[in-house]
Amino acid sequence: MGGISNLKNKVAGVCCAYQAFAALLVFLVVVAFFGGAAGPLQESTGADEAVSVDGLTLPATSGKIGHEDHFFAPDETDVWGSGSPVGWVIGDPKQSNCVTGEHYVRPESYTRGADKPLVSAGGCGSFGTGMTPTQERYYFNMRWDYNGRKNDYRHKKVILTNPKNNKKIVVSIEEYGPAESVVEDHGINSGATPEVYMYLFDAAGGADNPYTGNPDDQKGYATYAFAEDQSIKLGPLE
Amino acid sequence: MNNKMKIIISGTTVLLVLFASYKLIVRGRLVVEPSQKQVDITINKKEYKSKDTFETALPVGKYTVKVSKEGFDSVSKEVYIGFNTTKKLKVDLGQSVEDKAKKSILEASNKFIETWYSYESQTDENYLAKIKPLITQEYYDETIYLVKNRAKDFENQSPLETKPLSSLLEIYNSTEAVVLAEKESTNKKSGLKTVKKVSLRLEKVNDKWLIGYSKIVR
Repeated sequence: MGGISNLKNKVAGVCCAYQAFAALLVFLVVVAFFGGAAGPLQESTGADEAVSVDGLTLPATSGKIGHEDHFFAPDETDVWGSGSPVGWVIGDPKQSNCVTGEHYVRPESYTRGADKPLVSAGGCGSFGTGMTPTQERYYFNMRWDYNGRKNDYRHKKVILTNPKNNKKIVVSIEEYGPAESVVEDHGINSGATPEVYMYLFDAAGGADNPYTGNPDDQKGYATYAFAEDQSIKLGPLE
Repeated sequence: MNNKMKIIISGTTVLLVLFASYKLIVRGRLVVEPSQKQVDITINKKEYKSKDTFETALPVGKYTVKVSKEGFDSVSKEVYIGFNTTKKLKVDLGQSVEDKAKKSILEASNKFIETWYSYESQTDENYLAKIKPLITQEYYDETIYLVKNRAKDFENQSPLETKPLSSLLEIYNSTEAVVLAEKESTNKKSGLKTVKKVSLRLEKVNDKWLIGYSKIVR
């Protein structure tokens, strides 16, 4: 009987060793696949940054962001007489055709003229007609060095980062500027809509107002890079 | 053979001998001293290679001498070689095409900096007329776009007076160049002087170097 008992113990010992080995193997596979046993699994935002895309480069990789207006403004003279409270429907022959494709939602930055229709504020930008409302909402400009490739720059997506709070936003190239006098006087080498700078700097101006007359003060400072994945969604990267 | 034929043949032979003697004996010398070594020399369509000074004997007469070298503009000269004389021809090939281009690029850059950054207002018609011949059409179009569509950018613009301080050719090929320049600007309102670096990209358009892009760099 004692011999049988010893045999049982030996078999049990071997089985335990196999179980422990199998558990260790599973653990190693999990570690190999998910990069570590500790911490929650991270979902990729697809927000990798690139110095260049399609051979295009940005004029600078950082700088002060100027405060641009939208290409549309509330028509306070209400010349069209439509009185639409939420903007206008694309295709309305009385309106600008800068933006195509969908209903233009009034930007939240417009606190005035809420009962007025939006009309073109003087053109569609340097690239002309043909942007979507979302591209207009998050438009971005620099003094692009086209070098004969102007159309290639259009609609390219750029990620702006405020290094102070690490907020990031994806914007679309839809305009040229600012004038060099703005670069010369304030050090501002880019521009974006209120939706962009208000998100990045938590304010419409105030402490981060870049129009200081001091090119080196880093007010409204951000870094710029192309989005490596150009199919990324425009807007804040949460 | 009759006597008449003998006279004709003898006469022709004498003339040929005289002509050959004239060509061989009645000669002068040509010495070509080019400003560069290893040049090609063409004398009335006959080509020679020359390592340094070139010397040859030529029958008396008028010649076109062409001296050429890769990377330089060719130089042609007419010379007369007299009997028993030595004609010395000094040929200055000047600067190489590349050196000339580099000089033109730096001149274009300096002219641009002086003109582009000196203004009462950058929206003035006179100012725009001055910069137009210095920049490419694409760059001019965007400049005009800014002037017409972004009036806010030019509000309270201070008049500026600028002089180029230095310019360095960073990249060069036969059609494109990049120059890093330094400028000193004086704000005519406040008197404040600032020194800034400017990066310029130039393009060769219709044999002229034009600014295709400029930006202030830190």
